[in-house]
Amino acid sequence: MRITELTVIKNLIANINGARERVNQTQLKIASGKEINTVSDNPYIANSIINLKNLISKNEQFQKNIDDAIDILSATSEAVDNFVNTLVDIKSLLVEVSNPARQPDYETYANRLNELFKQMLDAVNTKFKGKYIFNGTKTNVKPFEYNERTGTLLVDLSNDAINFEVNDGVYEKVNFTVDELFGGREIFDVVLGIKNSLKSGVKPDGSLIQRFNELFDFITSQASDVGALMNRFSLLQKQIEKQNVILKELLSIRQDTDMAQQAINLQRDQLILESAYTIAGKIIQKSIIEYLR
Amino acid sequence: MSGLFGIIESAKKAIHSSRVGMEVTSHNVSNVNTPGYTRQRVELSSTDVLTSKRGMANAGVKVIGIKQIRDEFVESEIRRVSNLMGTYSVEREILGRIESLINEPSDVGLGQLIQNFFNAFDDLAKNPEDRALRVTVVQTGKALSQRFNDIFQSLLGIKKDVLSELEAKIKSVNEIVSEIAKLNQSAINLHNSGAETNDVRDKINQKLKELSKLVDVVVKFDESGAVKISAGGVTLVDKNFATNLELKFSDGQVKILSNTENLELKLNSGEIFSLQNSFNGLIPQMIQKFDQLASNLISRVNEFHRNGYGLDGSIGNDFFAGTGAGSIQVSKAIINDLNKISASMNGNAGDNKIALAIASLKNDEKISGFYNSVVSDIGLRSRISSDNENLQQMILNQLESQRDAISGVSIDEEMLNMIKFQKMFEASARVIQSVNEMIDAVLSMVR
Repeated sequence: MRITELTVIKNLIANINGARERVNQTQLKIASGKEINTVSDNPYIANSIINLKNLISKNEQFQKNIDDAIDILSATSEAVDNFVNTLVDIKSLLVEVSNPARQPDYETYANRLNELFKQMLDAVNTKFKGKYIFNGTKTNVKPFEYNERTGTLLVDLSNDAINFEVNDGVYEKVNFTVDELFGGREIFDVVLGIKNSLKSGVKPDGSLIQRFNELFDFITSQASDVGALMNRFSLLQKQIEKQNVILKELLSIRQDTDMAQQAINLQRDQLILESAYTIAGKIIQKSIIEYLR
Repeated sequence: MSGLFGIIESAKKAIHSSRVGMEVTSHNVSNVNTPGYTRQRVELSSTDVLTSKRGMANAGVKVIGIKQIRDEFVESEIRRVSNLMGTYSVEREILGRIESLINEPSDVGLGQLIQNFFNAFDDLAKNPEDRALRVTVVQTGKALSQRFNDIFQSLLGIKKDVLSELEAKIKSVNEIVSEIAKLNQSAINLHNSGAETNDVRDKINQKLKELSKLVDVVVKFDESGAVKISAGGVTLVDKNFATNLELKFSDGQVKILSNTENLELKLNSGEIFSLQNSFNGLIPQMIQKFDQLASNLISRVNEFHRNGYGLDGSIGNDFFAGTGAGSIQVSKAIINDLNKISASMNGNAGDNKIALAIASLKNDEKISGFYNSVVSDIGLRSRISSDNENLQQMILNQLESQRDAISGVSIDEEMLNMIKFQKMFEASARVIQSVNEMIDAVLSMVR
């Protein structure tokens, strides 16, 4: 094949451009830290990067949701503990009251019971982040309104569940209602009945006391549900965290630049480019003219 | 005997030929860097043999022509490949612009904004009473719809750019075509006067190469070196006749017509084909896809949103207004009163069923699935065009070095030719000198 000056120069330019292009690509990969900068760099990998990013974004949302759910359940658990502790106090008070010798002090017991009753109300009216946590979806409505003067108890309850999305398509209930935990308003009516009876100096009816004890057993057994749900969320949280670590690892494999590899590539490409320049300088001037003098 | 003067005569022819040889060499060397230049060569031949009584005597050399060294096949291949390259490079450029407009995979692309929007609803589901979260919902909704609007406007902008580029390219086709018609005329004139048409042919070839980048041309040379060109079924140039092309719009589609016969050019490749195709097909398709995506989003979100209660107890509100990518926006009523965002299905403030339902749309095939498929589609097409472009570029380089191997000027070769002709000149001069001395000797005998 006849090789002319123009052929040599054209090839030289094409090769130098090629080498420069490679250096540029490598520099872009190193500077951005990403192997894939546009979809067309590698459509298949880019597609899986987009999918992984979606999954990670969703997972991070689920993590946030679970954290929030655990917050709510911690508040619930604390309130339930307070409620149960109050009931324990009431129970020991009732034991004292059952002693006939205490009859003259009924008035005092009535007052103490009234305070404990208000503690029960405080527990069941607990607000967390501005929301009544035991009132279903009526989070802005106080569930129990007690008028101490008239002795009336106004109740406005919602038993709706509030669900959070904790995994793809998995919705978990994060709230407990008064019905579920405390068996509705009955416990309050029973305690109020006992108090009223003590206030009027009458020994409380045995059936009331018995009902109280039954409800006490029910409530203490229900209280453990809160802890059980919290455990479940903690497990889920760990699971999602683990998933996220794996997903991020997968994303990194596809997306992040292998710095060592690219640094070597850059060295190599620069060497090629420099050699090309050197050779260009040498061969272009050489022609038969040099030897015609 | 042809005599001493005959020798002088033949040496004179040699001197003349070597001068022509030097002229051609000089012409070649001068054009070593001229694009499209084809090297020329002096064709020498011994003059016709004279028969004399004593046998034959040669009467020297003569120039029978100055020929171009060209390979028509390689040149037509170069035209064909640069035509294909034109197709792919324009296509790659347009797809590249669309791709950078979509800007995926990144943390600021539309995909991320869609995710952010649904995540904001998921956050709202956890605290449906919270006003701050409602602000976030509206802000992410606004960001999302503005991005849709931007993409829509930018696609329209690209379409406009494509059109103005198309107009410019049509104009340059018209210029090239009329220049070729002029060159044809001078080729015919030169040919009729019996002269060589070498350099005119080079110019025509160079123009043809430019033209073939733009449109897929069918080319036919006649013996004078003039060319007949047709493209897309329409004759563009025939001898000194040239047609002009113009654009015509109907139903949002652009057509290319020749103004002499009013015929439509049906192109199959080339830059103009790619531009026309993008204007008529590719870009409207993209716009349509984003419209579809936006309208899916609007209808799915509103469908749930309408069935829910706002914090103010209102029902039946739309979250998004608009019908497509260009018009989507967060509804005015929602922006004016954040309490109108509905999260609740039963009217209680703490109920989050609607917010949860809207958040669950993040898995909807018609939204993120659809978007991902659009993104992959663009990326894949852009990749294919740039691969094709690179491939054609390689083939073109190969063909051009083949062309250079045949038609290119080699300085080494020209220098050697120069020495050759120089020596020929010197030797012929020496012959004349010798003959001169011989004549002197003959004349001195007489004295």
